[in-house]
Amino acid sequence: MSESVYLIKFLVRNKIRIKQFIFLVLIIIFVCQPFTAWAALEITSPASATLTGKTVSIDPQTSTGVIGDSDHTNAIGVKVADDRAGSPGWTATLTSTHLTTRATTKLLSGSNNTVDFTGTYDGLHGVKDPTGTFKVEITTPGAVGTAVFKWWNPVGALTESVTTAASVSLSNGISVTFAAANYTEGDSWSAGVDVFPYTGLTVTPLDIYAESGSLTGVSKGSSETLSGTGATSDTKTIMTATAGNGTGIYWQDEDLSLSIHANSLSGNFTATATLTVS
Amino acid sequence: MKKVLISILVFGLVGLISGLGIQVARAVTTDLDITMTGEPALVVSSSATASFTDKTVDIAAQNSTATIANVSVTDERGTGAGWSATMTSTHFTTRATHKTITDTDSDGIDGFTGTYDGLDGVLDPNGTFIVEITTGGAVGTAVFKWTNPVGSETANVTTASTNTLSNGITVDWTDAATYDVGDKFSCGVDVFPYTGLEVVPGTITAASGSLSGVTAGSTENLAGTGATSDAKTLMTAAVDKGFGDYDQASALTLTIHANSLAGSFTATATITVS
Repeated sequence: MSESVYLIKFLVRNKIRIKQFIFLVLIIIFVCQPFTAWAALEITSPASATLTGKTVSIDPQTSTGVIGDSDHTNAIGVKVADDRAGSPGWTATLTSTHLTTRATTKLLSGSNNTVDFTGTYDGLHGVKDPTGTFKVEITTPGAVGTAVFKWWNPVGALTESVTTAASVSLSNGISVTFAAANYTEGDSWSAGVDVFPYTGLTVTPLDIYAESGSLTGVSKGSSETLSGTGATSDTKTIMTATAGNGTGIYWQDEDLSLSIHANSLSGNFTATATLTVS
Repeated sequence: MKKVLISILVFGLVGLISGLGIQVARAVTTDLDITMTGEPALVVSSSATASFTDKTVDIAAQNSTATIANVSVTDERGTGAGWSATMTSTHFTTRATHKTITDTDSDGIDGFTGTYDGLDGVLDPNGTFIVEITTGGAVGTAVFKWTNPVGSETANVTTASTNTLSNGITVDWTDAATYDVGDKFSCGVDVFPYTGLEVVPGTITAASGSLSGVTAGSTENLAGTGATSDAKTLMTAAVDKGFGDYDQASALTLTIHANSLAGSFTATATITVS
């Protein structure tokens, strides 16, 4: 933005006319296009990675998966391409959100199956035993917009006197929706949520395959469990190229090992891994 | 022209810097997922047997006690649907060995078989099944009449190797015998009704999972009017609770009426979770 302002000031100050401006733009495109086409540092990764499914158990378990295919010699997996001049080096990192799920809504009291919970739980309440629930209960009867409710989060914290609406945001990524109905005091619904924290996710960067370029100075990160306290983990290095190295195209697979706590909810647990190169 | 050259220089530098990738940061995302499949059904188990303390037949009523150990409920469905474990029981009954009341040629019978269902209640004196030949002959020809523990008579029944009487009891004739009119045999039965069985659901322990929302049932005597009692709750898990493995032992106290038959009284307790 600031560069644009400077450019406008520059054009006005130097009284550059429209023909000159067009000429300038053409020159710029001609000069810069080769650089923008060649000089880039980029990263790509598979759209998804599925860990082996498990059956709910009274004992803890471990599930494994891979970002890529665990074959160290092919062009599948996480790709870092660097064709910048000067080989300044780079670092590829990974973060992940917690793997979470939200169960279908249960009607606890009343007869209105018109309430639903939506959104992706951020998992910040940790592993609950039993699994945590969001619970909503009507305290003042009426239609949507008139009826009032209270709700509990997964750790049992109560929020009162909330007016119903088509959708009301609760917390931790979860909202509750009220369809048109005449709600009665005491009507109650719940939705269980569960989490496999990223602090139970071990990432093992595998050997790097150089589709082009040299592996000199290009190294994989260590195997470690993700850490952090927020909704998204701290960054974990998966591969690095030191200054003067790393020009080329590099592929790597990431082995994943996830701790599955006992007595989890059934269903699909999802997270988003973000891979960054800089 | 000077302006043009200056402009080319400035814009060119801007483009060159950006083209070289300074301050470049690229990020992509990969979706991670794992599917947890729940077990299709709840699982309940318990000890195969529970023996009450033996008693000596007495002219006064008594109590006998026992424990159903290791009642275990496992919920690996992952649904949070909650559950309830219940117990029913049949009456405690016994069937004495048969007695020969009259047997002209000492043909005998193989005996009475089956498990008495106890539905005739506690009788004083103890109830008996009685069979009496009314038309003589071999098995298949001879005809008999019989009375149940409350004295109701059924007549004109042709003998067979086995004849079903009622309340779970059959009579087995001796195939090689030739019975005479008036041959008569009996078999005493007795019952400790389940309505005299008090169940005390014990403290629940969690081998896995949380005890939050998992509660024991109340102390009460079994109730009902049929061969099997009404269901009595042993333990329950509320909705969104009860994930895991829960164990409980329930104490039992059985009323033993005075002047019972001697012998082993048995019943079947059925423990169900749903």
